[in-house]
Amino acid sequence: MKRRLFLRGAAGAAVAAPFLNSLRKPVNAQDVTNNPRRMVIFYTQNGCLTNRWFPTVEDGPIDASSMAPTLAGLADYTDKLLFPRGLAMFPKGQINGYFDPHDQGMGSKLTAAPIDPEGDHWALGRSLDHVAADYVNPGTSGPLVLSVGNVFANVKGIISYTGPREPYSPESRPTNVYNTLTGLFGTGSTPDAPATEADYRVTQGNSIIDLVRDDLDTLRRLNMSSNDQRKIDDWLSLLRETEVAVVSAACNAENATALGITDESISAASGGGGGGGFGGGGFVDTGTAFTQGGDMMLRLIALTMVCDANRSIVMQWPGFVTFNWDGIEHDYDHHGLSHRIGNAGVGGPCVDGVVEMINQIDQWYASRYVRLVELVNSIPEGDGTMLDNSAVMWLPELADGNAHNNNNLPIVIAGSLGGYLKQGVSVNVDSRELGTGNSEASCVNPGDEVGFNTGSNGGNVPLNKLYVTLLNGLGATDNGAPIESFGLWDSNSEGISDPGELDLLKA
Amino acid sequence: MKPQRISLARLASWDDRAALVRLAGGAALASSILLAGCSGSLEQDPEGSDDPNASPPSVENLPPGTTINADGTVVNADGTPVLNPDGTPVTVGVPGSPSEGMPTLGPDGTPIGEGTNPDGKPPAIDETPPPPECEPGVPGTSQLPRLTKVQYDNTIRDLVGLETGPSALLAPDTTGSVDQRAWDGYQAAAEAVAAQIMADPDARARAIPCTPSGDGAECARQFVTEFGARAFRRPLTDAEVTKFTGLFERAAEITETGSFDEVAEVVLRAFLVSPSFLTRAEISESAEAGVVLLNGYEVATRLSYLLWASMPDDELFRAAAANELTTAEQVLAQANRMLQDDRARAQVSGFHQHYAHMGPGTRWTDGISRDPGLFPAFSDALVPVMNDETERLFDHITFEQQGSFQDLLTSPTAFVNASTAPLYGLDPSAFGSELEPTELDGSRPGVFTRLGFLISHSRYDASSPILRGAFLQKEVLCTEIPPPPPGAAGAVLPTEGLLTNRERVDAQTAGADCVTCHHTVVNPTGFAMESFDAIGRTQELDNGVPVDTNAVVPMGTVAVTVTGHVDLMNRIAASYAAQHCYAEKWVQYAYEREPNPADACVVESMVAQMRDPATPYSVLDLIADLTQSDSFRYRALETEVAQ
Repeated sequence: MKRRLFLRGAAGAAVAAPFLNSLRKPVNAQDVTNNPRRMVIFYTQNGCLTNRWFPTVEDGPIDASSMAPTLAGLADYTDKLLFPRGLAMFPKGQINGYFDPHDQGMGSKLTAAPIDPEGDHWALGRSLDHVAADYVNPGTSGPLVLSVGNVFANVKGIISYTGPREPYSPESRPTNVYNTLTGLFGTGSTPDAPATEADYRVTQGNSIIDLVRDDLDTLRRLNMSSNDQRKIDDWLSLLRETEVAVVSAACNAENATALGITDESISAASGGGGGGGFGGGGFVDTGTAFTQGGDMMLRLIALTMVCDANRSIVMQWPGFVTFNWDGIEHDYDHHGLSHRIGNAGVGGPCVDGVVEMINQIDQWYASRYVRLVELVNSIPEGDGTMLDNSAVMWLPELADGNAHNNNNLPIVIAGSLGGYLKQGVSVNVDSRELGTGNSEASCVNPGDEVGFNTGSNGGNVPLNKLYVTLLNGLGATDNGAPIESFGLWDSNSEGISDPGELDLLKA
Repeated sequence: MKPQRISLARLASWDDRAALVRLAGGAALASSILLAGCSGSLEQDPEGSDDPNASPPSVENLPPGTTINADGTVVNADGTPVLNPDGTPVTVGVPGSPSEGMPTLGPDGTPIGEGTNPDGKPPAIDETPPPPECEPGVPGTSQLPRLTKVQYDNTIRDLVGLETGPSALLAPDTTGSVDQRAWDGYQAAAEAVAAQIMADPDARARAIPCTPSGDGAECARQFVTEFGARAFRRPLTDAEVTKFTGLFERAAEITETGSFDEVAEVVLRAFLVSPSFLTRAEISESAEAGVVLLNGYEVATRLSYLLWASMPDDELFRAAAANELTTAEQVLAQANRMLQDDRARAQVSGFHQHYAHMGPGTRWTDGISRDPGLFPAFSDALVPVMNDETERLFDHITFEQQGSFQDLLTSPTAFVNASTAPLYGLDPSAFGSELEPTELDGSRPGVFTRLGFLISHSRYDASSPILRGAFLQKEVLCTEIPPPPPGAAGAVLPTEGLLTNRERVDAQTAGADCVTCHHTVVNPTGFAMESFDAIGRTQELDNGVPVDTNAVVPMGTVAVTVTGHVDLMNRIAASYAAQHCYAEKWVQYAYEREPNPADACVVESMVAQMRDPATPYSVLDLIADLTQSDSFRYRALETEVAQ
């Protein structure tokens, strides 16, 4: 075999939107061939105990001693961390006559757009992961959006949007992500070497694509509505993009195995069920989906980066689950606990010991974030590691889950995007002192009742500016110049009133 | 390890509370409700503040140190009220005072009198049907509808006999273009299915009808021709046969061993990712009076996917080849044959689950728990039984009893086992673990007085008139209920000084934004169902006071006085609104498209037959009629829809 053509099987998994985004691709995306930058968003719901999360230093250099209890596991990585302090999501509160803090925390968080006051309340914008994919992914691949367990296909379960009212549902089956990547695996063989199984896979794939293209061409000659014609044309352009060449030499079964990813471990992490069946929707129970399945998703993120199959990645953890794994035994779901009263009601008697229960959940998610940082940091790249060329960001739905506030957000970014971002610091981008919130203002003593006093004051610099900073760090340009704005709203009024980057965060 | 679940019931509680209502039909009562302020409340806008970033105080951004009073007002630590930007006190959805009772209006705006029915028969509702929406014609549709995940699994089952559920590998169903994720899913599923076919002797024999001899070319051609015709649901063109058999000629190039089986697996993969398999492509172009006449294979395919959600069987392929699917009568004969098949039962069951909002991820399955102190008789094991009970009843009425829509709402039959018998007031020793059809007395008419609906539409500690009323209005009567108004979120059920569930729910929904619609539409419908507690048992007392199930319930263009659930079910069954709603949902489900004026003709013709006292009109008759419209045998170019 002279030249190996790789079937770009399925790099960009996770789409549920009706349109391809090929027309939206900016013309001035970065030249990333030799200098890949990547963004990974780690997304959790229902807020946290903010006072146990924020570092003890609000504005200035941090080290291991600055880590608050929840993030103690990041102590070894503080020189690669950036805490952007004082940021808030917009729009929020009652917008266009509609208000639901969870719908907004999901729908508006990555879109910086309001949610539809009518119908299914989908967000009315395109989300950061898609915009980033436009700039950094080769071709027209969308982002890789992952989750675990049962995914809600409604506004409370979707954070990614290809466009207004176009939700993009996450992939929750490790098997599917894995199958995509194995399609890229090379064997490292040299030209003129005997054809390998991988080579035959490629030839077969191309032969099949030829037949599919013929079928589409036949249909295309019919007198169809423009809507149907567009479907055919979109399908044809998708096929063109699958004819690709170079894939990272490191993208092979050996490196997958080194990350603990094999046929067997994937099968186990996908809820078992070996043999011919495809199971009944993945895992039998949420615990296995979160523990085994979640860990496999984190490893698959690392492998995706090794294979350079996607440079815009989201891992979203579902919020409406009852923690009963890894030593945690709760009677109430996370959402109910975040309200302190054990259910979706608002205000009332605290569940006994609720603060400690929330702490257990916060600690569990923190351990998963640490795991992701460790994995990405374990892969050498250039003079450093893959983490150095990435931004691995923990972004929350809400700050405090009871107050449902979306100001003074707890956010941490590991990795500097190739030196674009400051490292080893907490940076208050607001003009005032922020504090760490009041998550323990209620429910400290038995018999306490909770009100709305667990939130936070201040910290209302629009998140849009962080997104602009990240996009520029990823190499986005607007005809050669840095981009200036993201999203549709950066206050509770339509429009962008405060464009630009957060210079304080830049190295 | 404790059982884990994702709590949809809790999740939904932001939404449960309020309902702004627009009644279907647009007649007098509907307008009066709209004018009374439901829609107006949606237009509140937090403008008027100087700070563009300031939101009115709300659950999200109430200042630290504030607390909520029992009446829903919010006060600062010093006891002063928290104010909205306009100076009014902030409330968080907890109501003020209970309503004094809502006016009971007829179509002309005058109060409605009692409507009893001494003979026990469903009373005729003096209802003016809304103006007809029917505009005869053939609605434009896509020529390339893609198989849904359910259709994909069924098609693989009927194509090669594998019941492995490969659609688990596919992306969620969408109607737009095939995107990267969808394409990845198709390829993954095709590869998996092709490998399974080759590994399973029965499946292999169904796919490959011959044993290769010599160079194998003859068998290759037979395989491609016969399998291809079933996969594409039409005979292949000569060009297609040449292209697919061409893979065998390139055996050495594309496979390691060049064996027949190895190439056959590649051919199978190729068929299974072909657009002619993945879409039900309609390619006939023989025009007739501005529309296109479908060919026999296309009609066969429409029939099989409508009635079976799967590919045509041998008889349909035969009829298509013999050109015996051209008249409405021929199509009806096939439809009646097909309705006898188990595949039709599965499809009809699928519709009724859709109609009742059942299935994974719904309140029928997720987050059902009951306060063990109040309801020791409840156990998690009831959940699958109550779902099974409901599906069996729908199936039994439709197929065994050849029943009508009205029968679904009024049948005395129930499926009961030893675990559910006590909840129905029956002696459990007369039942085993299997569900058995049982005739109840007249106090439990139809599917919505069975445990399944009653339990799934209740709360942790009490029945829920709001859930029950909202479902019956929204899904059975097709009353349009828009999203909850601002401020609905956070409404708690007040108990202080309020004795009965009915009083409390009315108080909970007495806020200005909720009161008109809730007190006129949602709550009364649910109150008529208050004879059943949170686990579906009959209850005569509501916190020690006799249950009051009298209510005035809007149905389409009229408001009907009912004495309780028996009366309510009979009246709904007889109402134009509910009959139209059921027929319209069938048409939408079967034709896989939104309501439109041409399909409205089909709906209206069905409703007319449902209401004709002279001729019984069963659900199966209705389904067979779905194949009788012009739009079933003709197609028109999809009209462009402005985005």
